Formats: sequence, C-alpha cells, structure tokens
Amino acid sequence: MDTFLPVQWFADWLTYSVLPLQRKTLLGESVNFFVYDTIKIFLLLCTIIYVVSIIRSFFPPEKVKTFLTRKFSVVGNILAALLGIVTPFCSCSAVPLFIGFLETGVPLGVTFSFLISAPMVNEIALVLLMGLFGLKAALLYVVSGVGLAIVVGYILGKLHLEHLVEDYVWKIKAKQTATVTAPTWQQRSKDAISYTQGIVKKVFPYVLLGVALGAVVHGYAPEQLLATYAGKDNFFAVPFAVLIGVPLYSNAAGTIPIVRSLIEKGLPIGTALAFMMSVTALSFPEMIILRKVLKIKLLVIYVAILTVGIVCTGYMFNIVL
Amino acid sequence: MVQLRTIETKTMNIQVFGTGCAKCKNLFEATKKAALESGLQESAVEYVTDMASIVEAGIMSTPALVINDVVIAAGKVPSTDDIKSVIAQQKG
Repeated sequence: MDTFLPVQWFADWLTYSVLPLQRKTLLGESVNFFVYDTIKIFLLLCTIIYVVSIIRSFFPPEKVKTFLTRKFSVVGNILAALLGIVTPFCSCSAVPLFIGFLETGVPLGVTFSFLISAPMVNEIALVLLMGLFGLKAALLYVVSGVGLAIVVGYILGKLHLEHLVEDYVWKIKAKQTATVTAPTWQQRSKDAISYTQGIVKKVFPYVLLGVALGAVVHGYAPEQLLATYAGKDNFFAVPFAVLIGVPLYSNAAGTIPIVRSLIEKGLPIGTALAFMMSVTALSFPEMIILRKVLKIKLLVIYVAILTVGIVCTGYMFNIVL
Repeated sequence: MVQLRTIETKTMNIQVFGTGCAKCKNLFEATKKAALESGLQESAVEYVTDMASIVEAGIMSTPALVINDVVIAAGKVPSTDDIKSVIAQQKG
C-alpha cells in the first residue's frame, strides 16, 4: 500500500471538492499534482532530515578523520566516500576540514573523495529523489555518487599533486584535536529539530517553486518534447546538462521536481542524473572557497576530472538504462 | 589555599571561530548577547577568522564556540540561553 494515500485523498478533496476544479482537465490535474507533491515532500523533509541529523551527530568530522589517517590504498577512498554520506558538511567549513584532514595525515586523494561525496550525497537531494522518483532512484543516485567520488579521488591521489596544495597548508599544525563531548540523546534530538527547522524553512520556497514549474511542464509541455532535442542520440546533451547545472548550486530542492517532469517528456535518465550531480557537486562558491587551499592548477585539474567523471556517468546510464 | 580558590573569579576566555559565513556571524552575535546578559563585557568574546588559528585549535567544522579552551559546540549555533548556562557553569 502507498504510505502517501491519505495525502492523495487530501489533494483530491482540496482540488475537486473545495476548489471548483474538474478531474481530467489540465488545470485540475496540475493543481492536484502540485498539492500532492508539496505535502508529500514537506512530510519527507521533516522526517528524513530529522533522522539524518540524529545519525550525523555520531560522525563529527573530528572523529571521521581518525578513521582516514594514512589510508593510502583505494580502501581509503572507499571509506572516505562512504563517510561523506553521514558526516555533517557545509561548504563554508570546507577549508578547515580540508586542512584538518591533511594535517592529521589523511592522503590528498582520500580527502578529495570525501569532498566530492559529502555535498553530492546530501539529505535534501535524497528526500526529493525518494519523494518524486522512489527509493530505487534515490539508491541509484547514492551508489553512482559514491562510485564517482571513489574513482575521482583515487585518480587525483595517483597523480601525486601534493605540491599543488597551497604551501601554508602544510605548515599548519593542530596543537590539539578538539574533543567535543558526546551529546546526550536529548541534546541530539534538540539539535536535529533545530537543524530540520532551519533546512525546511530555507528549502521549502524552492520546493514550491520547483514543483509549480514541474506541474506546468507536466500539464502543458508537449509529450516527447525533449526526446527530439535532448535524447540519447544527441552526444552534446549530457555535457550541456552538466553545464546548466553549475550555476544552480545546491538547489536540489528546486531542480529535482522540474527534472521529474522533464524525464516524463523524454529526458534520458543518464542525462538527468548527470545534471543533478552537477547541481550538487560543481559549484562556483565552493570552488572559490577551495581556491584558498588549492593552487589554481590543482583546482582546474580537480574540477576537470570531476566534470569528465560526471559526464561519463551520464553516458554510462544512458547506455545501460 | 582552598579558600583563595573560591574567592578568585576565574577569567573567561570566550572565542568564536568562524570562516565568515552567515551561521558564524549568528553565533558571534548570540555569544556576545549571552556574555552581556551574564554580566560580562561584550569585548570578552573574541571572533577568530584566521584559518591557521582555526585549524590549530583543532576545529574542523565552523562555527565553533570555545570557552577556556574547551570546545562547547562545533558546526552548529547553540541558543543564547544554552551559551549563558555554559558561561554560568564555567564561572561556577
């Protein structure tokens, strides 16, 4: 049984009984679609972000770095990419995190695996993918994101680019490792609630906008519109999608509802996936922040390899699916 | 000796570590407010933005609140009331 059936009932009641709209009309269906999706995403946002914040309270970065110290083989990259999922991460602390990792002896390639996976596999993208596409699609996104983080981090590690990290980074030595006392369950819950409130407040306007635009596309755009222009046969569709994704930094909330409607109109899954990865993993603000610790050459190499990786992931899923 | 310790008021060393993001400024403001309401000077709160100092203190997620070298919070903004109660404990 569909857990969200009551939400569907409510949406039906609101659109067809309270509002003077008719079933099987464009406007009626679009409004129904909008009401159902926004309520469902709101409920998912509240529950999943709360649960994720509780899990994350067990994996502070100070603790995570000790797991990754001196892991020079690919095992380090795998661990880092997986820990990136559960470690709280905000791009504004990317610099202290980066220096803190290197300073305790976490290899550069392993640090990159973490830096790719942490923002890409985030709870907001997860909620929207689960809500709009289902569990399978969310898992596909997580697995390919983690895979990409492992491969790109591994390659960057093999290139031995340590000399391209800003010199001052290697001179910093932590006098101590901050030991944040383990919070109580009550404290964890309190923090999780305040975090969830913050995220929902920040993200929900974009969800409303994204779902509304998605509903318009769903109702009014001609079927197979994108199949003609952005279909699997078009070699440039994937790189183009990645390019569009860059300025939409961190706006998974607004973009994923639109992507769903675009898939209905014939956008291939691989292209859509590459687009979403680019939205979450490639962003100008983060590049500017990372420039503080990476020499320009390394920043360019990092972004280039990551971009190529995302494009390849897109092609791969277009071929397989 | 024992008596002396109870009379002497401990000096408070309150530091907010941040990279300049919105959350970091929020924590700085909340901490200043908490300090004032606890009868301390606003200037008792030091705002540290220098990256080397942040890493040297062992902090990896900003903003962070450190009182007398003890990390009270990292990567989140505690409420003014929470900060006040920590200051009260430290005054103890």
